[in-house]
Amino acid sequence: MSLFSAFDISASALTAERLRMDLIANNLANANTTRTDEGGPFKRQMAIFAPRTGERSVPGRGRATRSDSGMGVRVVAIVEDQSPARLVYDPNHPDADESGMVAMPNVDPVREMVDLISATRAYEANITSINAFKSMALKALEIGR
Amino acid sequence: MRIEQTLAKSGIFSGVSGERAGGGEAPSFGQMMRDALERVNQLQQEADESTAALAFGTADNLHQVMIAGERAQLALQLTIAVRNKVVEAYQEISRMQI
Repeated sequence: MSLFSAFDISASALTAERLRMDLIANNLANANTTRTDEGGPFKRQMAIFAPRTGERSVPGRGRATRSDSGMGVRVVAIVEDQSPARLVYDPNHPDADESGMVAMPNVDPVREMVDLISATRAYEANITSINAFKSMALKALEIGR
Repeated sequence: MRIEQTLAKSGIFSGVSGERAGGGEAPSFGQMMRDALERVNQLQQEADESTAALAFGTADNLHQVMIAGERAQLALQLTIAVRNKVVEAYQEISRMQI
């Protein structure tokens, strides 16, 4: 691993958590959206994370330590939650079907808030790891002082 | 010289002198210091560009800007520490009475 790999690993995590937060914010914003371009109500979106494999661009460099620790996280896909929409009885709604039921998005605000807290804590944890790496590097300069 | 091989293995200068250091002949120390300073300069420029992008509102992520700044600062401090040690060693040797 190179000297600054900890920065890259944590930066990838920060980017991934930011994206997750954007999706959560979008879900919350569209919690009452009953019509979309594809027809039907808004479907809740989730991000799928996967570890990023270490592909070094400089061959022959650090062969023994290549991807010992992995290279962070990446967002593989953004998928829609396929759980069924909530049906609410409201015959006067413009999007009501024949039986007066309106299909509302499958977004649960409580769950989204919990996910938001989890994303925030993961963001903070990665920032702590960056700070720890920096203080470790600076302490290493004191060897032999 | 042993110190060149140690520095080559430590990976501080990865990305700049990768191909040369892995081969049979170790580069001269002057070359390695030049490469290190070039890398530090490159990191400083990246940090400046990121900050300018943030000021213009074209930056993607705030954390990338901060990390670029931290990376540049850390690289500079590490290079300064190495330089101090080398200068100290040189002075020690030049003080030797023949």
